[in-house]
Amino acid sequence: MSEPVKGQWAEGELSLEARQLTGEVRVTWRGRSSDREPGRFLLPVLSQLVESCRRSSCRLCLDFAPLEYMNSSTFTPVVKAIDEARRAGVPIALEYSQAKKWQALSFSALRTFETADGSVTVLGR
Amino acid sequence: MDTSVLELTLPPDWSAVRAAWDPCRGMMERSGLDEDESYALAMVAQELLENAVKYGAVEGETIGLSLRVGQEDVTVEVRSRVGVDDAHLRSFDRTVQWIRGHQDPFEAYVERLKQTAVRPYAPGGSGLGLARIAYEGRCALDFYVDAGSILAVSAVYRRGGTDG
Repeated sequence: MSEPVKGQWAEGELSLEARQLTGEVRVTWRGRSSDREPGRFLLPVLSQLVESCRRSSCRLCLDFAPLEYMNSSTFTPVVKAIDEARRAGVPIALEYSQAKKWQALSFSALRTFETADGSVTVLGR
Repeated sequence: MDTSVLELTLPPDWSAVRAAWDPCRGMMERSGLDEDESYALAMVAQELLENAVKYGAVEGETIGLSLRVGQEDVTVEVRSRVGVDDAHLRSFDRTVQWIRGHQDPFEAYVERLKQTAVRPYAPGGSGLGLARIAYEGRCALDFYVDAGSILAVSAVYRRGGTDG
């Protein structure tokens, strides 16, 4: 049986915390993502999480609700993670706060990547 | 109401972009913009400054940021020096024209996201930041280059406009 997935990563003002729940790995994003090249930090972390979810047959949930700010460069590794999860057969969910207008606008645009079979979902809460 | 103005002169380094956040938000909130508007326009200033540091700034030179909050609109302008034959400037021009060609900036933003998804990963140059300024910041983009090779990029937000 796979080890429960958990971990913390931080770079600059951004931190990610992964917790294993039933059938899901939940990754909570906090702080601000405003690095010049956020992909350098985020791509390996997200890739590792997708692989862990694949091995343990879990859904990957990226929870952005507590996040204060992300620059446009941060969307690139997020979009790449969606693509990587889809290719690996890992269901992926992006959650955001509808109370934060910037998140409601930015993440509603990401609904373009949602799939009919529910393997990619973008949810406001 | 009088026009409120904030002028900042910044070194062309990444930490200066982050440091501009609080003065921008503070000035806009003091000028009567609501929390969502001041957040969105601070984001616009961050994206324009990031572009100036990445592509426009020449070492030893400074970047100029000005915010003007008027009764009808808000203008965020960033000024930085560019080369005479600057490939980035041409790419920038194409991206701005491309965004303007969309009736709804949401469509431009979504299209840029889709393009980003299928391209091999490369930092920068996606045009996503400019599309975000138009969509999320609800700003009209414009720019000019003066005789001294200073590129001035402006994003104009019309106050009291409707979403979409």
